[in-house]
Amino acid sequence: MKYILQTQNLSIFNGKSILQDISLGFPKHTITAIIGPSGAGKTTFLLALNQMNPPNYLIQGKVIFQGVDLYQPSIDRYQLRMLMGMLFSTPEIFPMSLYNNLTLVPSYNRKVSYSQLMTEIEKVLRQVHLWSRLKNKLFKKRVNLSTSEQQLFCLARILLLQPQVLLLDEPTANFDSQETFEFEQVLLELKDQLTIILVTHNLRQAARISDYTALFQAGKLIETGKTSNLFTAPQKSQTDNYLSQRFGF
Amino acid sequence: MRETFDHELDQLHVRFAEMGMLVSEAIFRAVKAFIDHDKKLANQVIERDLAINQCETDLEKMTLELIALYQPVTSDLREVITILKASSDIERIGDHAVSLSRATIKMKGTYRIAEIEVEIAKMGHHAYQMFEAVLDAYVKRNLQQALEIAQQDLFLDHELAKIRQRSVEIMQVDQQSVVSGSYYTLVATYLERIGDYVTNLCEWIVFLKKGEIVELNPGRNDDLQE
Repeated sequence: MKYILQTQNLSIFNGKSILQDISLGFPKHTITAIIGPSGAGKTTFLLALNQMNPPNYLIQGKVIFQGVDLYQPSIDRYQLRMLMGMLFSTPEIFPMSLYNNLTLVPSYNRKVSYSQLMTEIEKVLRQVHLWSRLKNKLFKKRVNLSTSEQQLFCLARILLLQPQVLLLDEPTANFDSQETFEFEQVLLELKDQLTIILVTHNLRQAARISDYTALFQAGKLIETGKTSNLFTAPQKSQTDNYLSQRFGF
Repeated sequence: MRETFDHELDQLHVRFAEMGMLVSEAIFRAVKAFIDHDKKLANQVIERDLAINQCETDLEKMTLELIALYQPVTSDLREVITILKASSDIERIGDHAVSLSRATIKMKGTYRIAEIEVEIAKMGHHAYQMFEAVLDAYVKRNLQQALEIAQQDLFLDHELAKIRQRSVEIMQVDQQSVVSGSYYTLVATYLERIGDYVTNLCEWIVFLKKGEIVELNPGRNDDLQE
């Protein structure tokens, strides 16, 4: 299978071993869910994909994005992070107007006209289903947004940079079920233009929207495969136990 | 929550086992009633089918609730789905035991052909043994045993063809055998259908163990050996 992004024997140490020998590939235009108990190394793995781990972390193995090893010294990590956008569980909107939030990085990086920028802003806000709610509030200094709206807005801010991969670290952790559903709909619609990697504790969410699922436990990749296979007939007993919530093993 | 789920799943297994025993008894009694021309025993089989149908309804309700409340996945999901689907096959087996019993009652007093009744008795015992064996394989989760049982369906297929042909031959030369001859063909068909449902049950054991949905036509399962 052809991957847009893959890790080869990726191990990460921080005095002790955090991740061990992870080889995992992400096919283009798919959603891969990374699941596992807390402390399994899921977030560390996600951060390693766009070089966001702390500098004292020792990285072994390779992260290959479109055929290029990302841990070569010549890689510009700021360019890389625009190609691989990341969203965390707590949305962070800068204390400035929504317009300024959106254009902060694009205006820094690209010389585009106001009208072109507005066209792009409308497009990304439509993609996250926020255009009708926010179109008249873009230049206001204070706008009250719910947590899920803030998260969708942060997603729009990333989309404006035209990333190819979206890294999501428990993006719906603080959402109610309807907000979660809306966010998942947006992700499913974005799949046509992006490759999405989603760390989640919500097993139902992994089952609902991901094409592939990978289970991490204690720094190891236990099993990966098509989500439909993993949730019906996993090959490993650890996967069966974890997905069936048979804890205490 | 896990503890509650396990408890509910245990309840499901108990009811399923109960249904298995009821149907096993129904086949045994229906075959015995046919061989002994025992109208009273045949009536008992028909009456007890209500209990089998109730088991199926209970299992359907229980599995629906389990799925809705606990949303099981992986082996848990396969357990629940297997019981849901297998209980429907077992219920159909019970219905065939009833059909066989009805034929026994209707045939009372008709002209009988001993050589065909011997063959039907063989089929009846074989179908009963296949069913007992598949319940055993289910309890033991024995994939190999399930594959072997599915192979035994061939015997029932051959016997049905043999009984059909012999009944027609006899009916052609002996007019008074027409009523019983047509019943023999029907009865052999019921027993052959029991074999088919047992094969379905074997397929559900494969699903339970491996998560694969297979068609266990005898002679086509070489790639499923463990």
